[in-house]
Amino acid sequence: MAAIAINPKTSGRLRSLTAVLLVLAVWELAARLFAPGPTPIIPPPTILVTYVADHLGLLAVVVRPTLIEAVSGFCIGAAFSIVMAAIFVRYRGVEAALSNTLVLIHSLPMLAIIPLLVIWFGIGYTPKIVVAALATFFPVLNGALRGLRSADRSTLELMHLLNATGMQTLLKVRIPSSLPYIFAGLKIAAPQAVLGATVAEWIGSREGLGSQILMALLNYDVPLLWACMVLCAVMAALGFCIIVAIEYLVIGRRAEPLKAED
Amino acid sequence: MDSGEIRLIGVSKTFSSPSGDVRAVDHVNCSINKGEFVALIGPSGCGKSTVLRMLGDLEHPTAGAVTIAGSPPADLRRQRRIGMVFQDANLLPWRTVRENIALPLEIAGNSAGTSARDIDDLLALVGLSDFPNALPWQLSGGMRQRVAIARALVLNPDVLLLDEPFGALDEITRNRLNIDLLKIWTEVGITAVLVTHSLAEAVMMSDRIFVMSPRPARITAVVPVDLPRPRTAGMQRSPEFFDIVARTGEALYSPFESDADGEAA
Repeated sequence: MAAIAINPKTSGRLRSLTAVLLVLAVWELAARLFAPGPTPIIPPPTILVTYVADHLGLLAVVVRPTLIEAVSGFCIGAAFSIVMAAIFVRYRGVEAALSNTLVLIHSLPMLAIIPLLVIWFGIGYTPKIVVAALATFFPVLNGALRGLRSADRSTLELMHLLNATGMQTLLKVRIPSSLPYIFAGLKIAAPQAVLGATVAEWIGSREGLGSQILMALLNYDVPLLWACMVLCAVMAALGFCIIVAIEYLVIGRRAEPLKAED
Repeated sequence: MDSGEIRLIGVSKTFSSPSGDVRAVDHVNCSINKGEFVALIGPSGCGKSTVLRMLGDLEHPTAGAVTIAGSPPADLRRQRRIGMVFQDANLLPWRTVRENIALPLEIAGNSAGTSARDIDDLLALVGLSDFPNALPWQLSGGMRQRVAIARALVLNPDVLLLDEPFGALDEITRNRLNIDLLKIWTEVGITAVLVTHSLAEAVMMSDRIFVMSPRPARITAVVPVDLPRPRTAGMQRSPEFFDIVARTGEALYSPFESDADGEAA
């Protein structure tokens, strides 16, 4: 009865905001009731926020390398996978030759790859960028492959009838029709790149969020551990949101609106 | 009749698959004159679309020869002188109506030259002057096919191939589009080949109807349509019209009926 003439979009946002606030309130209450103390193992949100505010300088220093690694790894991985997908679609033989190897690489445990990368590339940015790129590579490759093959048969026949070159078909039909699939892959990959870089910093690293988490753990610095975790999550979510924004800029206005799902 | 613009001589097509060969088209002979509007009619899946696709160089005959103006269809296709409207409008969903119609011009580049038609004229011709900037999802099925027709005509081709273009539309919309298509055809003066499974549509549109048998497709009868042009919607209620529909129907259905008689006996 209070909700007079609120449009569905606004009411949806209101609901999701209410849900977040509710979770935070329950968390705050539970933490203060069941785990009180000056350095609680489950700090209430208010303490977390003040902690982050007090240590902003330190956290900025900690976040910077992770951000650089995640972003560069993401860009390299995404570019590489899209080019590779285009090659696969053009030359089926290459795909047949490489796909098994790629699945095998994708199946290797990150925890085993990281020490090897440290041995090969040292403890600088390189191994972390490689891990972030690997984490990006597979979801984007999958999306791009599916997308580049998503053009209708009759549209491709039309291009044949018009005597279009392979490059024209790629640029005017295959790539535009692959964009929704590529963005779906990028949306999965963006948080993965952040998490990949963070995990890579656990081994053989003196800076970055991952190494800070390890240090906080060894020093039993629970609020710092939590702050790092929250920052990592925020970065991953931010990566997702940036991709969503870019997707909207590129195809949003042209896309057919999705039908209501209720 | 041997001076035909489009000629099929002993054309057969067999599709090979692991489960065996399928003969889709069997020894088809026909000749279509320049500027003529012909219809290929036959039961669904009989292979009439395959015949059309061979004219568009989308399939190749396994035997026999197809020529358009004396050359194989591939030559004409490379010069972009074949226009085709498919069963689905297959517009690019991210392009507006105008951009979709302009696609062949972009692909032809400079070679489009002076033969290209003006997009505004085409929009007027197909009745879409008010929607140049609409996106395909904003249009009805009939309007999308109008865009597809405009796109097929933009390079001013010699031959227009129509593969059941209005098959998915309701009868009222289809009727309107057919009458508009006839107007366009009269204005453009192009050789047109229509594949359809509607008797009334075939009679309404064409100068001659090639009736095809069920798979493998074979031409079993040629029905001349001697209704005057320009054809009007009113003609569809005239006795002459019904007479030709009946004669075409007889040619189309007689193979099935003789089968049924055989079973009954």
